[in-house]
Amino acid sequence: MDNTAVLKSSKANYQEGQNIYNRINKRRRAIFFIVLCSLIVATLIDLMVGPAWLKIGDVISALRFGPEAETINSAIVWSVRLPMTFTCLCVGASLGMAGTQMQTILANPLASPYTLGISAAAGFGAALSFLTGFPFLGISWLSVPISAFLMSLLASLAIYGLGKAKGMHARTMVLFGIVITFFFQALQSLVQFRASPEVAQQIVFWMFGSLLKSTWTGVFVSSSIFLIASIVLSRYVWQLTSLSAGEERARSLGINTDRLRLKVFIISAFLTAGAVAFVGTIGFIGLVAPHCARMLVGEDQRFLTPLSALFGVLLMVTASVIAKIVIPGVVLPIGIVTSLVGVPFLLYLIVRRT
Amino acid sequence: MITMKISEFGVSYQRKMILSNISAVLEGGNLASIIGPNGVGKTTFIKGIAQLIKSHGHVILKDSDGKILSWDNIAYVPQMTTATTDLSVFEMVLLGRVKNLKWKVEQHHIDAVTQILSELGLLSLSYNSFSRLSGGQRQLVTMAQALVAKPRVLLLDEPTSALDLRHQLQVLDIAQQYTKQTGAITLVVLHDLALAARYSDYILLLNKGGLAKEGLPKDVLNPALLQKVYQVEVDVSVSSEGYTTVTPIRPSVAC
Repeated sequence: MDNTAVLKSSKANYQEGQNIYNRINKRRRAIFFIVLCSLIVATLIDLMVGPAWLKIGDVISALRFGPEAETINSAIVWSVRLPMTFTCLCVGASLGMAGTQMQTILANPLASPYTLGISAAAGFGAALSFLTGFPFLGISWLSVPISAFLMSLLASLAIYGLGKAKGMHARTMVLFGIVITFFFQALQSLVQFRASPEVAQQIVFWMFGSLLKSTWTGVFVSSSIFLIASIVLSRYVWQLTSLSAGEERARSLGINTDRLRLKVFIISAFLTAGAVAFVGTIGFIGLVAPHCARMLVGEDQRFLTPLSALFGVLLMVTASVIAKIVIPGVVLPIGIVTSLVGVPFLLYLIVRRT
Repeated sequence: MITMKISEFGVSYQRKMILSNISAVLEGGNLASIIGPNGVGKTTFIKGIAQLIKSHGHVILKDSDGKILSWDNIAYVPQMTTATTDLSVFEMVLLGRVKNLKWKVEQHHIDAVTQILSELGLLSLSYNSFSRLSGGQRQLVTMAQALVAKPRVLLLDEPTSALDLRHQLQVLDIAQQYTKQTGAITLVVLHDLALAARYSDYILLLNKGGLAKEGLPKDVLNPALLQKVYQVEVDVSVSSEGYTTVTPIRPSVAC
């Protein structure tokens, strides 16, 4: 560094600056491309794997000829595997994105939909619906996802309301999230205690988080929320990048951090609600995916947010494959697999930080 | 030339008045220092001016035609804090233009960052992670981040704290040169009275609750007034190089 050079008036070499900027982003684009390719491969494997193993050629021809082709392979791919794989895509992307945003706005590496109690609230909503059996708009199968969706929004609202009353400080909001987690877990236990053995079993199965509950309706709802959230968030990428450099710094750059936190928190709440309402509690994706992405591309949210979504999907699809091959002929609830993978990672993070 | 008119300015927190009744007029091309003992509200004052905290009274910024300028023309550099971000130096400076950045960064923003990094001799650090820089380098990058937006008013909160002598001079040289070259107004919170004497065109001396004195350095930095405000006997002299030095002698008896 030339310490004697202070505000030299000469023209800079702009090409050099352009080269620096290009080089910073070139590596990130390459990583993005590699993860995307890995994801395509993992998705194809997920379509091949299951109680009935299909060859890659069978999968491709079933995809080519569409659901109208009246073959067994077509029925397996279009009616069973594709809804599950698409659910993986939507849920993984939504949880990955929501996790990144929560960690950014709360400046806490352990913030995620799971650790903030939003998933626990969804669990209680679902349990309540199983217990009461109240049909939503006369459609009984919609009552569980709707109830889970509404309860996760309610939990987010509670965390936000309590946080706002205390000045939207990141640490306070995380602590409120922990309180919310315990509160909804207690309520859910109460519902389970009151429920008949059959209903209690349904609740427990829901809490595992399973792709067997996948439906095209669920895919449509969560993908719509994800698309809208992506479009809205793309407007705030630079503000969020500034926030990741520190609250004080972001405020000094003229960003209304409280308002930004509010908007992004609401978006994250919808993403989480849309993701967990249809498949149940999926832990650790929202925690692990952002860390993987951050380690590879840093804090620039133009890369971090989409890559977190991609990692969320990659983790979900990989977990889905594992869930199908661990016990032949049985599909393990994916929530169990994601948690088993997530726990060591969480331990690694804590050990690394301390 | 721009002017900043501060009138009846004050800040209260939880119904307690921290600062009140501060009035001053600052003109473009001038660097003004805010000095005073710990806890009198120097940072509160500069944050109030930056509209980062609620304040009362008026702060009006006008250009040479008398047209009122918006607060987008102000850049505030906070006290140096620990940085945990792994953003590169180039990206940190780019964030100085955060309000105008789109998804695809336009060429003129990249050129502006290149220009300011070249001017400050920091281009070679472009790839470095901001959090791994030394304190002095971090402060220079933070200055670059503020200057890349070409602010009409530059607010610096204790920019020399935790810096060695060389970097103290470098940071204030940059602030002074920017002020003179662009006709901006610069307000700097300083603890070191010798630096305040050396770089300031104007000094605001704060004491508990408000303004003790404002004016030219030679008027504000007088031993009797400093003793009254700081509760310390001081000697104010001029060095052989022509710089004013303020030497604390001993705490006042009343202290």
